[in-house]
Amino acid sequence: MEDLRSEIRAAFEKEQAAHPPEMSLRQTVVRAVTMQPRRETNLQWVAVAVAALLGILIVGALMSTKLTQRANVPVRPQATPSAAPVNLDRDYGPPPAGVPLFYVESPSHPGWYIGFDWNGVPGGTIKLVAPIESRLTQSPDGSSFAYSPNGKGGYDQFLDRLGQPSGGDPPHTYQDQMWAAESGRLCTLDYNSGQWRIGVRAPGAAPTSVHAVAIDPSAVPSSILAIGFRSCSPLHDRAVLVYNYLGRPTHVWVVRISDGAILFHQSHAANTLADIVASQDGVLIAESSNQSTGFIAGATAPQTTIRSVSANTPVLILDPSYGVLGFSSDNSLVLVTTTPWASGIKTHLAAIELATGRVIWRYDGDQELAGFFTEPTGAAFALMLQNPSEQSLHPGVFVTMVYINGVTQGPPGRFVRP
Amino acid sequence: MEQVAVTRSSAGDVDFDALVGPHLEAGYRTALAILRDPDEARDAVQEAAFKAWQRLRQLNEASSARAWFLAIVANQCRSMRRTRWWSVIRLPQLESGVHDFPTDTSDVGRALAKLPQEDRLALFLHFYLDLPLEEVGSVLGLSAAGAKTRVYRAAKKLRPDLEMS
Repeated sequence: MEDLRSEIRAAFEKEQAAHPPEMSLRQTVVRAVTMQPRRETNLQWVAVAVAALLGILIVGALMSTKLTQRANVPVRPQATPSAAPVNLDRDYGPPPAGVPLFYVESPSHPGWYIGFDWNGVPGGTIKLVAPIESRLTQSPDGSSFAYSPNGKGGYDQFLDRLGQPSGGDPPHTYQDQMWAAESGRLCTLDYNSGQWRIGVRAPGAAPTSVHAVAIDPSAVPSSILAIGFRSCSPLHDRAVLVYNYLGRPTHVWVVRISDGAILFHQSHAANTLADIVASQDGVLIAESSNQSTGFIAGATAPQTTIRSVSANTPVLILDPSYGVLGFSSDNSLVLVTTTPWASGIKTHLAAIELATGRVIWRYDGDQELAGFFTEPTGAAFALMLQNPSEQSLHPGVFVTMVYINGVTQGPPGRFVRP
Repeated sequence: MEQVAVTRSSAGDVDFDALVGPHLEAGYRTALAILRDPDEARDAVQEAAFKAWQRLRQLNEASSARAWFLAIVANQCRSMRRTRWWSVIRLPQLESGVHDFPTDTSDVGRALAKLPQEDRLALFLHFYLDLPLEEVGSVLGLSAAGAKTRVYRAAKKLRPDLEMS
C-alpha cells in the first residue's frame, strides 16, 4: 500500500503543481468574506427553536399552498390526499407489480425504502439489510433500481421491484446511461474508437441494440466529454443528447434510437445557456438561459425557451431567471427553478402550465430542492426538499407532490433521500 | 483527528481567519482535484468560504474545522458540477483539455484520471492531504469505516491486486 500511496501522491502532485494556489489566497479570501454581513444569530438555542418552528410552518405551508385559481383546469380525478401520518416503523409489504411508486428511505429503519403511489399513499416497503451508501436511482415507475457501489460514475448494480439484486455489470464504462422512460431498460451512450454509439439494454446485460450516431467531432472536442442523455424513450424511438460545458457552445441532438439517425441538431453560443432538458418523448426541449444560474460573466440568452423539436419553434418563452428542471410526462407542465439551484441555499420553484404559461404553483420557502420524481404517466411531480444546512448525500427530506390543478400534498413526515 | 479550539473575539464573534484561513489552501487544492480547472477552483473556494462564514456557528467545537470546511468545498464543487449539468471523463488517448492540465503518463496517473470523481476525492483527501479516515469520512458524508472502504475500493481500481491492510 505504501508504494501505491507514493505513486498516488506523485500523480496528484503533478496535477497540483501546474496550478498552485496564489500566495495571497488566504488574505484575499478572508478579507472578501469577512466584509460580508453574517446572517446567523448568537443564540444557538434560538436557532434550533426557530428551525423547528419553521419546519412545522413549511410543512403546513407546502400542504396548503395555492397561489392561483384555476377553475377551468381539470382536477386530478383520482387524487385522494392522504393526511394520515406515515408510520415509519410499519412494513407496508412487498411493492405490488404494475403500480408506479416513488421511493424515499425510512429515517427510523435504515435500509427500508418506502414506496408511495402518486396519491401519496404508502404502497410498499423494500427492506434491504443495509442502506445503499451511494445514490439509489429508480426507474421512472419504481420497478427497478440502479446504483454504483463506488459512488458516482453511472449504474452498474441493479435491484428489482422487490429489492432483490437483478444483476451487475461486467467492467465497462459508458459515457452516460439513463433509465428509459418506459422503465425496465436503460439507454446507453458509448464512445469507442472515435465513434459515438447509442444503445438499449436490460439492467446488467449488454446492449442489444447499438447504433452509431454521427456526432460532429468538433462539437465534442478535447478530453472533456460533457455529453449525456436528457431523455430516452424506445417507445417513441427518440433520445435527446446534450453537450454542455462552460466556455463551449452547447449542442442538442435528437436521435432516432433504432438506427442512430440525427433528427434534429442545434447549437448555442458558449455560456448563453445553463442547460437543455427534454420531455420524456423527445418532442419538446427547454433551453434555460444561463441567467437562471446567476451567471454574470458574459452574454446570456435573453429568455428561457421551450421549443417544439418538430417545428423548431418556441412554444413558451419564460423569464431568463427561470431554469427548467423537467417536463411532466404528459407534457402539460414544466417544473422550473426561479432562483439558482445550488447546494446550501434555498431553492425557489414553480410549476407552469405549458398551454397557457400560467404559474399553477410556486414555492418560495426556505428549503433546498434535493431532487424530484416525475409521475411516469400523468402530470404530477414529487419534490424532495431538504434543509440547506444539511449537506450530505442522504439528507433528511420532506416530500411535496404537485398536481396539474396546483394542489399540493405530501406524505407527512421527514424521510431520507435515497 | 484535529481538534478545534474555537477562538472568539471579545465581541463573541468566531475568528474566521484563525479557524478557516489555514484550510483555504487545502480547500483550493481539493476544488482543483475535483473540478480540474483553476478558475473554477478559485470560484469554488471563494464561495465555500462565504458559506463557511455564514454558517460559522454550526461548527461544533469538537469537530474538525478542516473537515468541516473541506466538506463545504466538496459540496460547492458538486453543486457547480450539478448546476452545469456536465460530467467529465478523461480518456487517455485524447488530447489535453481546455486548461492544459498535465497528462500523467504513469500507470497510476492514467488510472487516477479515469476514476469517478468521488473515488478521486477520497484518494486525494487521504493520500495527498493526509487526512485521517475520520476526516475523510466527514468530508464525504461517510463513517470512518465507510471512508476506509471507499479509499480501499478506489485504490483497488488503480491496482486490482491490492490487499486491504
